[in-house]
Amino acid sequence: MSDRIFGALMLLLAAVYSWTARGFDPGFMADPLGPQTFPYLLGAVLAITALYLLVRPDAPAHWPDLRHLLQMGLIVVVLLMYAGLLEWLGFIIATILTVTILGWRLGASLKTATFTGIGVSLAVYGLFDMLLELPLPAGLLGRL
Amino acid sequence: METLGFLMQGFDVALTPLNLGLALLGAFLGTIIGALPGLGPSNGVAILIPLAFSLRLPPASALIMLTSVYYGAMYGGRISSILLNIPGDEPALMTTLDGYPMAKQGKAGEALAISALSSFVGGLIATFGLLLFAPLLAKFALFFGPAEYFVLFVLAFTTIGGISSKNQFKSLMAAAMGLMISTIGLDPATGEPRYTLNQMELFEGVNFLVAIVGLFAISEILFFLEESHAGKVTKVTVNKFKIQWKEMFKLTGTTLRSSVVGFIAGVLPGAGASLGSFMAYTIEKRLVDHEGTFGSGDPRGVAAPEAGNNAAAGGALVPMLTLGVPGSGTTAVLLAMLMSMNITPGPLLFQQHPDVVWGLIAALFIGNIMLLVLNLPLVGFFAKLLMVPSHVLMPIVAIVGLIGIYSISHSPFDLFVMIAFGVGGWLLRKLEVPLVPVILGILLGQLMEDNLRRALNISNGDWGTLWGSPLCWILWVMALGGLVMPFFIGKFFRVKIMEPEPEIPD
Repeated sequence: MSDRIFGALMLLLAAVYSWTARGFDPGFMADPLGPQTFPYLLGAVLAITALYLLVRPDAPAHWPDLRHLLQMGLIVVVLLMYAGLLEWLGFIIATILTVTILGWRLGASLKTATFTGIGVSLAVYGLFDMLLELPLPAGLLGRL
Repeated sequence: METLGFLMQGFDVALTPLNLGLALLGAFLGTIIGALPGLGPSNGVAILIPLAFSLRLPPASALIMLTSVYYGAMYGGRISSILLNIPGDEPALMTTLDGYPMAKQGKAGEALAISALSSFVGGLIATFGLLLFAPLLAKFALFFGPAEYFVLFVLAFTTIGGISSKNQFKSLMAAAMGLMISTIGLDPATGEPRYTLNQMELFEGVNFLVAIVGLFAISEILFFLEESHAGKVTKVTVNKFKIQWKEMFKLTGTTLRSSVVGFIAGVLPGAGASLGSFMAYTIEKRLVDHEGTFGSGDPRGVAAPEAGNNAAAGGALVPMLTLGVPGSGTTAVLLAMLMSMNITPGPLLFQQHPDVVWGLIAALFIGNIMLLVLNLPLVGFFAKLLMVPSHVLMPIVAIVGLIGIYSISHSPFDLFVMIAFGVGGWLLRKLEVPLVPVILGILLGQLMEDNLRRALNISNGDWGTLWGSPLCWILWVMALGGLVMPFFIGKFFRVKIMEPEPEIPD
């Protein structure tokens, strides 16, 4: 079933992708290929392979249960927040928070996770910012 | 003779103190990455490319460091195959067959030493092969016109799934997706924005490093979370041992034969390291296993796949360097590494950047020796790394991946894109859609379209030019063969590879 849904989605993507290519302006230069031909080719390949999946799907995939899915969702949200808040919070604070939550969700006790967070954060900061001289955002700590 | 002179120049590049130090550091880091559970060679090199890039190392030095990482990771992966029966990557599967039984008999140290020595010989022979064949192929490749190149790219995509590919349609689909991602951004010929959704950040296209680190590293974390064997720590010990050189010499024949077999498998399109180790093991089993001891801890059963797999890894560099077409996951990542330094592999590479090519080949020799020197005495230390708990390791992978990408562009937008690729990569892996063709598509998309455009420009828009020369025909036939063959013989190979499914370690 997963393969069928995926195939249908990819068929849709192929259609939208190729449809969008229609609007590309070939410009005034004489170019036999133009900006739209290569996308048409790719759209066709995707459509054919997607149709095959619709007709002959593989054995169904094993999806994680709801609890695991929520866990993974949480991790993705944490990573997105890290990306978004890295510059404002600064590397050290953002990394302590993120590693602590990740480690905790991966099975460490909250205490171990916090120590890991502090350790990883300081170690990576030392390695990157001081040893390798790749400046990391200072953020809140820099504004003190 | 010409080659020898170039090689000497290469050694001049590789033997500077900085580069030697980087090779040692790379081999050390690589072995750690390979030994750590859940990080294969492709992941390891992928995470470190952004760093090599932001440190602004000269191309030759960065290459030397990253190839050492690659070699080191391949070796480090053997530690978990032999001690825990968990192959770090696909080619390591064959090593578990005899390596794990040896470890169970208390001969883990010997197994690891055999693996190190035969890897060394395999790598060395492959480097000699590279030295001999790459310049020849590079000269031949000068006959390739844009049409031939376009067909060659088609060939790369139809064979990347490999001979044991489960579902060819899924690898083709993955290739199409990767190529589609490569069309995002301004069209190089007309300047027309394509699929940019009017986002300024997308005008330059998707940075392939962002995609690779996302697909490999972030999806790995999600996978780990799902399997959730969190908190489980395995106790690992390696017995004290002395290398018995007499015993080692008994393996000479096996190692040499397997190296040659592996090298040939590596050069062929669509074969790669998995097939190299598989063929080496199978052939040795036919040739020398008279007592039926293969599979129950025969040292030759460790030497054969190890030599084969490392020789194949070297062999795979031949098409990658001379034609710019990688044949496997790790060579695709190495291609990404070259491209991140603005070096496009291909026949011209040998003329335009001889220092890079020959420096790299010299680095392979040096990396190989470094690994041997490093690994024989330190194997006990590396084995201890298997005990690093995942709740420490996985967050580090996440942070180093994110910071590596951040240090290239200082743009949070790239981090969001990278996380999106991670989630996408997890979905694709769940659906058994391979990721390597996606990456290859992103890497080669622009070159492929460019060559198609030039071919059509030369022929005034006549598409017949794509099968206008005998060379094109040969490449089309090979491409078609690569696409169709797995349907017929793939089953046979898959059964053979999967048959000795490693039992759950007790």
